[in-house]
Amino acid sequence: MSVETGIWLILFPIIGALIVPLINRFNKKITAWYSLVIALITFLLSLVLIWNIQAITPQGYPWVYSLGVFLTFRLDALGVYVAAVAAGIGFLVILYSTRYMVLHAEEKGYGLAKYYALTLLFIGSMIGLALSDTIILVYIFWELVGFCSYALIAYYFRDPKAVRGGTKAFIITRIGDTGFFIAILALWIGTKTTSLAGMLASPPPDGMLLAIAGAGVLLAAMGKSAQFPLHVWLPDAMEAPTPISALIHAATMVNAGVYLVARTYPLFSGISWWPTAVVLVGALTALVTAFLALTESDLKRALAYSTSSQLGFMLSAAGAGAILACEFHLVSHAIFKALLFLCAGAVIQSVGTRNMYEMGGLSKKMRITNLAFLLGMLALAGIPILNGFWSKDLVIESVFTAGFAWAGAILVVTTLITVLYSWRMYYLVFCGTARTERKASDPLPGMAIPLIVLAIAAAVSWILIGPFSQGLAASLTPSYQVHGMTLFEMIGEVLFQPVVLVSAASIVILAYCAFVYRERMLSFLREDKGFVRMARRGFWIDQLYEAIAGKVRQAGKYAGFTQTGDVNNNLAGLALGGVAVLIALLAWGGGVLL
Amino acid sequence: MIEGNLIWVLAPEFLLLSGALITYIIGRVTRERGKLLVGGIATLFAAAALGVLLSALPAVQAGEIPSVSLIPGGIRLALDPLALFLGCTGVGLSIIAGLYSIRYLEKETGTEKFYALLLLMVAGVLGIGLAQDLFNMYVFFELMAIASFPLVAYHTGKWEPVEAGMKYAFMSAAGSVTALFGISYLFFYAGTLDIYGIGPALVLAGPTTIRSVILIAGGLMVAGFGVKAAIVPFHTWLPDAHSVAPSGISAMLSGIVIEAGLVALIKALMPLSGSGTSISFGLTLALFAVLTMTMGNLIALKQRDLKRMLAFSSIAQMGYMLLAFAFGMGIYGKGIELGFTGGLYHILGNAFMKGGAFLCAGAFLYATRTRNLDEMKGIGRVLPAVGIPYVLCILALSGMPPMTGFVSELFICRAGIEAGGVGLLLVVLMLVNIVISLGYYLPSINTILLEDGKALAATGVRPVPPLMLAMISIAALFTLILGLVPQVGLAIVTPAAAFLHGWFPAI
Amino acid sequence: MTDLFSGYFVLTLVVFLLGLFCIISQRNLIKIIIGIEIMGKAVILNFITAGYYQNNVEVAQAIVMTAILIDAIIVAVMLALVVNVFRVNRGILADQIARLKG
Repeated sequence: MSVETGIWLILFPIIGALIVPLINRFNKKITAWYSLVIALITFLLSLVLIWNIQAITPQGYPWVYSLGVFLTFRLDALGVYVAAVAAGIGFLVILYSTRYMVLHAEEKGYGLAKYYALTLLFIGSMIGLALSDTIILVYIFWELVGFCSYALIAYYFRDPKAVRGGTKAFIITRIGDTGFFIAILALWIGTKTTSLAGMLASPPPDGMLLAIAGAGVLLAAMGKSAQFPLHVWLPDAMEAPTPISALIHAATMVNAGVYLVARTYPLFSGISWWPTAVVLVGALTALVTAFLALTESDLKRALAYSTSSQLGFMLSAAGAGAILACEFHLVSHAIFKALLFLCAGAVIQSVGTRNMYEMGGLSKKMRITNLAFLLGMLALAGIPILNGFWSKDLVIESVFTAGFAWAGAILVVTTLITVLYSWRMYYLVFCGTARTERKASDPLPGMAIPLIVLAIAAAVSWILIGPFSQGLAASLTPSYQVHGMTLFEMIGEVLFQPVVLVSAASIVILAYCAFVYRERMLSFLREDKGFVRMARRGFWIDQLYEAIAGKVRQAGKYAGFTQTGDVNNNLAGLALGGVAVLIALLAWGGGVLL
Repeated sequence: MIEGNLIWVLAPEFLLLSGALITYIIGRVTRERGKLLVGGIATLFAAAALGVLLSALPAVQAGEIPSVSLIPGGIRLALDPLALFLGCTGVGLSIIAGLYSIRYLEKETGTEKFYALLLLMVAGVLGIGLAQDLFNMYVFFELMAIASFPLVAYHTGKWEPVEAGMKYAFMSAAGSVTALFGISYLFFYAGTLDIYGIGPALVLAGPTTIRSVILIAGGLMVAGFGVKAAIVPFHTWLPDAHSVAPSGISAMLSGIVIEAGLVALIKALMPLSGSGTSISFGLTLALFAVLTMTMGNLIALKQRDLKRMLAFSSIAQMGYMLLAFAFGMGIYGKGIELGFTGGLYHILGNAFMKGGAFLCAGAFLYATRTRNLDEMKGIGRVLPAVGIPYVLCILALSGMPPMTGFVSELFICRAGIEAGGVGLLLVVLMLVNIVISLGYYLPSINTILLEDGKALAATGVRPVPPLMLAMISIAALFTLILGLVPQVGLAIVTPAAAFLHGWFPAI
Repeated sequence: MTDLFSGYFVLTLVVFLLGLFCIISQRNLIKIIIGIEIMGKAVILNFITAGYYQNNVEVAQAIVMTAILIDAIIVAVMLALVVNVFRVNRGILADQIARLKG
């Protein structure tokens, strides 16, 4: 098993994506099936990689020979798992799209070639991001993934909200990317290599550069993984077609930030403030966005906030050094969040609205969707047996063990709120009396099969903790501190922790109270007073960004007054500028006149 | 090897100059029949010049500098790596812009003047590189500038190009005179204007004299050449000129002419730095660079005219390039070669990114008869052959991989961080500027590509000739190639960067 | 350093600044062109002076003649542009020709 297979895994969907427009010219009907085949092959290839994980010494392809930049790839468990998740969920999403997009794109006059091409390009880029060892190459794929996200969010281009959402996502993640860029440069200069493996092997760079790099990586994670306060792009990204929300904004791209932090953890763990900062950002995000999910009325936006919250869990785990817990929750979350989004797609399609307060009573009419969503919701809430319970509690337990008790407490409180908001979602959508007269029915097989597959996965994926952790422990260097864990060990570790028992008890009590007082609670959350009001306004973070953008535009307007169009003014500018240059040279040129 | 030298040094320049003359004569002789012919002939001469330049590449990479003295002891021309770089980039872009203009100007008469002037302009660009003494460089600089004035004001019947051309000419002339003023002071102290001779001559004059004259002469030259290089506050001519010129000329101006102005500035400052003084232009230029990029990006935010927006973006790009060269010259006195590599690579990439963007804007203008973004909503969907290259070029300008803008950004920022101290702050400012620039790049993409084109198609969109489409695609293709395989661009950039680095001491 | 401010150089500097003042303050385009020319002549005077002090009159002569030539060409082109401005605008005062702005 060589690195070539990994490179093929990256190139295959990308080349497939480039061929989509040609296929579409040829015969529109087979575009979707062609894309499905490409996605299936990609997924199977990724499984092959899992079966053959080794820590492979990267070979280099010279890119900028004169500066010593070689493109290298690394097939270790950390990357291959992320790649496999991307390929697997990508395949299921494309399967779902073959039915879903017919209704939502073709009939509305949006071209499908662009959709499938961008989705395949995205899958390839995400795999490339995970399997690349050269940090510059990771950045290149990182940006490509961001571009695909922008293009797909703005897919329904006739809706100005979609275009705005895509632009906002691009710009805000770009702010994070700026941090990543500076980190790359700092690491490159400090360790004299661009290969991540090389960086881990060489002596650490000097303090200032390392600190800059650490801060940059954290900023990158905040941008890409929608952490507070850069979380505002994710809800607006929900204008994308729902399968895309499932793929990009739940299961793959948003994980890139967490993946980067986990990958570079050994580099930065030595910095005194870094682990604490990362854990702080993660825990804070988890809590704040959980509140935002609790008061949100739009189903997809609530799921988006929930994604931010869960990513906060993962980020805290990574910051605490619990790479196994972080990755495990990454996989679990990808499964159940994608499941929830795809169910949401079916629901929204049936009911015709995204507002949860206009739904209700769908449990009888959409049985399969009901069951799937219920399983996904229970996984999200962390109810035992489902994968979310095991991975989330593993995260909490690791955070406590690493010494961040304050963060652990925040995460426990967040878990309680998670139970509340996820149950609220389920209740508003599926229970009670129907608030809309639309005829709702279960989706057709094309859409239902992914739901069933993901629901089963949510129920049983946790059983694979043994081989999952073995793979990680074997292929990562000891600096990652990953140890193998068998199924029984995990059960023991999770179930018999006092923290877990306390939180489990609280959950039960909370669930009971919530159920009994459900109507009062729901109406309380609809009000416009106090804390609820603040949450519904997103704690005014969005308004802050709007204000900043407005100020910048205003600055542009005022700066524009220097273009008076008058020749004399222009020439005066020349004279003044000349004087300014002379003064500047005097001040900083290092010379003395006379 | 006098023959070899003669050919390599003189042939490209000769081809361009004689090409201008021949094109004009043929155009006047054949009148209407020869309209398409003149464009083809001009392009042929340019291609021949490019061919000769590229054939000299292996020798220059090996370290040879073919040179010729036209008047023994006097005018010397040499094909040093910097000249090769300028020539390749300039002539290359002129071929693309020239072919594009064949169709763009097909309704005009007297196109022989256009192509003759175009070739003269490129001859000036190449000459700036070839010249080995400052006055010669000034002469070629003026050739380039004077040729470009009528090109900007080509449509003499309309008020916009005429007004813009007038302002451009006035500012450029004032700037050139200022620069020459600085050169004259230098002549006084050094007695020679030969690039290699100024340094040693100044050393003889003594340290305090050196400092003051370098400051005055250097300052005047920065101001003078800065007009052409679009450094703020000398930039005010640019938005008008680049937005109303014929689009092929806008591409040339933004793509190579202002960059040639910047190279002329660096070339003028080169001799002043090796004379054992501790004068550092780096920090001053870096500050002006930040001012330039910020003003360019901010004012671009409010533009609704597509070409004017691109013109302000050019000002911002010049800021990035100037910052790169400032790193190369050394902020704390220590020159960093990577700064020069980044700056030169950005010049190369910019020729195709910005040139391509202007060619696309020209195609939009051709199709819809307007430059206003609000009146061309969805044009990219009606003309995908222009829309997709436009997206590529604009994303490249914002530094997105895998296009060329990312590669040069990588080099420039790494050079800055290596410089340390203030360098880190300057890099952060540059990156913030790039994020700000997204604030107008993305909305332009949104307006052009993410709007319904049906309303526009209904009002009638003139089909864009295939030749123009082909040139646009070639430009966009180059931005991809230069980004994916940097070695291609580095073939001409690395020797030039090493050459420049040799001038600025690494203390 | 004292050399720099010896008589002739003061003269050329004054002429240059006069030209500069002219281009900034005059509204008539032709007058601005004249101002640019005045600056150009100041530069030429500077070269002559420099050549004299450097005892390198031949090179100075060559430079001066070329500079005069270039100045003449620039004036010709600028005047042609002003003629075109007049054709389009019916006026050659700077405030009448300030329509491109912002």
